[in-house]
Amino acid sequence: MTTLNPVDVEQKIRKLPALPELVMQVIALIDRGEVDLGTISKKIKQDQSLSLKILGVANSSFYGFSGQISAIKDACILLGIPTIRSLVMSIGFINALPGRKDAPLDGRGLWQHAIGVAAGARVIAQSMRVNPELAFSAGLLHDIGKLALETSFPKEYLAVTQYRDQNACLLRDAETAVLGMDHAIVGGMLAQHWHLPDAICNAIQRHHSTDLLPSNSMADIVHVADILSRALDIGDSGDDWIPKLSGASLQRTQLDLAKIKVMLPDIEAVYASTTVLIH
Amino acid sequence: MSDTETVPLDQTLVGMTLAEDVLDARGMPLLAKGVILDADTCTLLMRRGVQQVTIARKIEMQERLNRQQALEARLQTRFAQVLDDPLMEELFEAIKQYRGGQPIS
Repeated sequence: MTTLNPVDVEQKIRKLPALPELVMQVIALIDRGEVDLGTISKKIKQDQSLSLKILGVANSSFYGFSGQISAIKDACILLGIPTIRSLVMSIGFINALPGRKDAPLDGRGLWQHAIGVAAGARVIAQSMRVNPELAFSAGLLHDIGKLALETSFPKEYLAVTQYRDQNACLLRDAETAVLGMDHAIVGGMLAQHWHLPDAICNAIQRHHSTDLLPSNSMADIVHVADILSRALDIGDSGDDWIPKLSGASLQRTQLDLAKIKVMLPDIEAVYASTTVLIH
Repeated sequence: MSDTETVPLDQTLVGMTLAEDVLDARGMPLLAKGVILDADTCTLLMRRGVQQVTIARKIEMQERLNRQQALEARLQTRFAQVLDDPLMEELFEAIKQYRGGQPIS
């Protein structure tokens, strides 16, 4: 066992790549309230990969304009500025921590799972009249601690996956047993380092422990979306098994199984429309 | 292997294609060859006393069944450690029902 020292973890996390400058500039423009579409689309067009991915989302069948949107400015109008903001930020984070090629966790599968959770969180948030874009970002980043740990402590994380396989347990339990801390704690540290909103930091830290603490709604939303993404078999969370759904979280998100059944096709549709982010 | 198969109506799966016309007891045509069966059509045929139909492409049916079985086995494995929880059992059934016949993404 290699128990990690929280101070070492924090130091290593500070060395992880930040969001690209262009992404920061677009987000800053939007956050300053400068929603001039011409300026924003001009910025986005400076990065070809960013532009292509945003056009990919705008042209997905979900928005009903398949193949008709060819200009970034039109995509901004169709998707709306809040969605553009969360997409630009998502692409930035995915590029910042893509996962290592020789790593024990499948980086692409992890991001697919994260997009599945983001899609679920957006659908649940809409049903609760909570900010859907904030929920999307919280869902997308909920497992960022797994990639942070795997990138910063590759040898130790290999031991985590070996422990998981030998003991047929959940990855989170293996992290706690081997490292003395789990990806939720590390993800929370990274989110704070990146100066993400408190609601996102809390959701990342508490998405596995909503029963233990008085929870905020974003942690509940992400917890429920996480279980649904796993149940729908979207991507690869790093676990072969599905953890239990918290009844308390389900209650606080004002959901029941009947409502969830209705949401399943919506979650898959949002996932299908945003999966282009990792292409 | 034959390209068609006659199956009892109660074992017919939605989405199968009729390989032959379906006639009623008096020999009057009810449905034409080529129609894709849906739940309503199967119920209608049962009401008209039809007990079996000839459907196209046995291979397709076998593939569907195999896929369905693989899906159920995969779900069973994924939920294996939590099926003692009534809420998770309910979710398992909901996903199984939702997925019914759809490929795993």
